[in-house]
Amino acid sequence: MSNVGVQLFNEHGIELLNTNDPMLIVMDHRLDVVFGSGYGSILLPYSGWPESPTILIRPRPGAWYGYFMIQREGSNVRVWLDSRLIGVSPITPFDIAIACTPRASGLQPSQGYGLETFGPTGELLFSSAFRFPRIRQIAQVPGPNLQAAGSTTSAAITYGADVMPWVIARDATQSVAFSGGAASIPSAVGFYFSVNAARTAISVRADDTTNNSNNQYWGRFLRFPLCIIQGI
Amino acid sequence: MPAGRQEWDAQGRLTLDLTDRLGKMVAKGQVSFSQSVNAATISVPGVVDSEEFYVSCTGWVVCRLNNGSITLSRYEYASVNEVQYWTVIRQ
Repeated sequence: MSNVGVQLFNEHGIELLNTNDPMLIVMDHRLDVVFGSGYGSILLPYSGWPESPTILIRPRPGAWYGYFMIQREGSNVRVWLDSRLIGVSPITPFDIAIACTPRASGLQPSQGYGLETFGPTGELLFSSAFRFPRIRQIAQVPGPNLQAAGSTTSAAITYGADVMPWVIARDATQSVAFSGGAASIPSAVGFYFSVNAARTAISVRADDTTNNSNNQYWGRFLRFPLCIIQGI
Repeated sequence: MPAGRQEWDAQGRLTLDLTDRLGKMVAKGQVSFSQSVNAATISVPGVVDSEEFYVSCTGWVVCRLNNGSITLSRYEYASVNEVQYWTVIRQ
């Protein structure tokens, strides 16, 4: 942090923004995405590399989504997701948004009011004219027991969600042994998340079993930032 | 007394509230793995293992926060000899 500039804090003393770090804004989104075979991918234009973007998923109530992964493909990002959990929830649509810094987005703010912040070199760091993810809660869900079929863990959604949140779902990926680097996994196991219809809980389970030595979240948490994006 | 900022748009809709968090990029980079290199630990000053931070990374790569660094670990059967891109977000 430079010693000149502005910092704003929320009422819990957590920094909202400063004039040093570029902020995440929403660059693009797609609604009602459906993968015909459940597991699939969507290619979104994104030229902000080498900055790896943040992907947000807005689920449908009670549906399960997992096996999340992103890849660079030229000036695009490919997002992989399984939008069904076999035997538990059918193929279900979802909404997807891509967030990154203003520089990576290439967007320019269009309105002449609100809040804009700039860095020491004049780089636009944030503008309230953009859409941006307002993180309302960071849900911490204990890692499920992968040695027990159907083991499900949950965390309460406590901020009073009156609409379905956008979820930064990167933790709902494959299981892997973490200690000692990559490990052999007999078969891939995916982590899935779901938000209930009342929007009071977010849950996690896996699509198969494996030893918890292959579970990077065993004894830890999957963390899901829950967001509002104004206007979508 | 509440501190911070509230913002409304031209239609009077609340767009930023006192209780929000916002994502800020604090570091970014790229890394490559090989058959013999499965993991990389990268210094990111200020990072701690808490909900305050996360890593967005491409590929079948697991990211773990440490105090002052991040460790990226690839799945054995994937993401070999590809450039992977990572960004650390503070929220």
